[in-house]
Amino acid sequence: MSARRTLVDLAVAFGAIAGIAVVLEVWTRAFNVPSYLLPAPSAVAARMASDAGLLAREGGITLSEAAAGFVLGTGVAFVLATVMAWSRPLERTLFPLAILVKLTPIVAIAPLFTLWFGFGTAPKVAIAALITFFPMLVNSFVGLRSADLQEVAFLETLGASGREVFRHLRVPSALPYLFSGARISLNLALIGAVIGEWTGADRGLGRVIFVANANLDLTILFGAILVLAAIGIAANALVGAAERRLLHWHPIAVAT
Amino acid sequence: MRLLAVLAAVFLAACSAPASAPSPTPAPSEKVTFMGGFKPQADLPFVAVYVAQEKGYFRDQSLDVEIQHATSGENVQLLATNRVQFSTGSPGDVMKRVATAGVPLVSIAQIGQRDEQSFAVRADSPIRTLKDWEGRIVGYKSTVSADYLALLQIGGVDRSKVKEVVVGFDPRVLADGRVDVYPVFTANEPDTLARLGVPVRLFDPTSLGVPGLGLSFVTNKQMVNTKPDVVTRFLRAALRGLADAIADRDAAIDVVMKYATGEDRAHQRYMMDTEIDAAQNDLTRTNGIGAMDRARYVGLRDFLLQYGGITRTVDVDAVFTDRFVKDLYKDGQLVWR
Repeated sequence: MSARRTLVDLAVAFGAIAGIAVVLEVWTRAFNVPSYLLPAPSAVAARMASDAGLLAREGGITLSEAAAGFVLGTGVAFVLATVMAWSRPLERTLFPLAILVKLTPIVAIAPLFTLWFGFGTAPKVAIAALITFFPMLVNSFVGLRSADLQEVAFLETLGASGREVFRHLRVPSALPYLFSGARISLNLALIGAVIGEWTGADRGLGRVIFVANANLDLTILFGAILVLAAIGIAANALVGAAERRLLHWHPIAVAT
Repeated sequence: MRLLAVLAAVFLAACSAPASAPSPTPAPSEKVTFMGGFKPQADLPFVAVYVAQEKGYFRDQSLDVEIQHATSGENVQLLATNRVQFSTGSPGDVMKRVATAGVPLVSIAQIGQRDEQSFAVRADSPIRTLKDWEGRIVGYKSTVSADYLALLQIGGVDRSKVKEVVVGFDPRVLADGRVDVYPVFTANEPDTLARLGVPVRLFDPTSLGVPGLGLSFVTNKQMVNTKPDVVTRFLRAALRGLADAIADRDAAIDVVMKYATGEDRAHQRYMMDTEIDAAQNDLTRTNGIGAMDRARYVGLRDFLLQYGGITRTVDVDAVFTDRFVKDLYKDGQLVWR
């Protein structure tokens, strides 16, 4: 059932993209739009087919950077959210710092990451982690605090330790919020990896987009964007599937 | 004695000012947009336009000029669709855009007569010759440039012994020691690095025989073909503004700072002075600032083809024209009418 639902989700998403492509194809042909302004979707598709190997390789690199950044950023966010949910003073101390991270314009500081972490994968992963941090922090924090106080009290009367309350009540209560944060953070991680590649990289979809933009080569530019979108859609579908599997008992699993 | 001084001053002013011709021809006012290819700063073509606007030279030429600046290269598409009528770009970039995407751009006045970029090493670096690049880390901004490949060949450098890394547009990687050689925009980044406490020495491609060119005024084919009088009037006003800027650099920087708000005045002055030097050579001393030499465009096209800067040839006569600049000067003096 879950796999079928995932396939339906993917089919709907790609159907919507195909519908937009048809409109654009008609538009570009009817008005003879130059390819350096808006390439016809058929030209983009042809380019994606001819450069499929390149897009797959570069997409794989961006995906790996985004995945590493996602794991790092959301992992740190969850740990900090746990600490904040456990202690009001720590919440008051850490939350302003988290907002500072959130409000920092990533594009402005991205070049600094190269100075701090070198030319390799590390700065891209760090940017992806930074950009995914706040949504997961807020969702985790709210989720962990959302546990029913009467249920907490009930478990405590049964002699449950704080760790047991956390494991058997707070985390399950937080799961819908965690999945919500994961959905947001996954896409942000991809954007973060692309921003990192944009500011200085020799591989990845961000690099492809950067060079294509400089050369006004919009067929490969849109091809790279579509690959990025496909990765995002697939990742979201996977999270959705995991959510339905783990939260089969929760109303949200029915709604998504 | 005082009368002599006044006469001498009048004489000198007459010599430096553009030659005047009588009977100004009234032309209908035309609204056009100039979009600088980068943020507001003292790039020399920008300075020319700022000063021309400030002194009313465009108005005198019956032009209503709106000044804009690009943030990420959008000036090319806007120029191609005639939503912007004038912009800036190097002939190498123009050729690349024409070769790869068929964008209808035309260079109409060559302001920078030297390559825009150089390769910087720290002043205290043991790297003295191109051959010394072997075994070193050399940065490139986005793609390996034709300039760089040409320099390797000129210096007899074994490329396999050079570690190339993409470094983006932040010169701090040289200051930080992450690269040994860093490609700089000659007009500003050496000053930026010096301000970071890292004076640099430059490997200048132009001095080493690479046929690069700097910024030019660029328009589109539609303007060249349908409104050549507007192109002429725009260039006449802008080049007069440029002549004024060269004659009085302090006043020009005053004007620049009205546009480049928040920028450092001394840094802007460095940029302008560097670009003024790069705008003058034997060709311009004879034919005036902005002069164009077809042989240099052919040389640049062939060079780009040889080193992969462009992958297909372009018709040089379609990407540049010197007809406007030639009409504006007489005996090397700008004719104002």
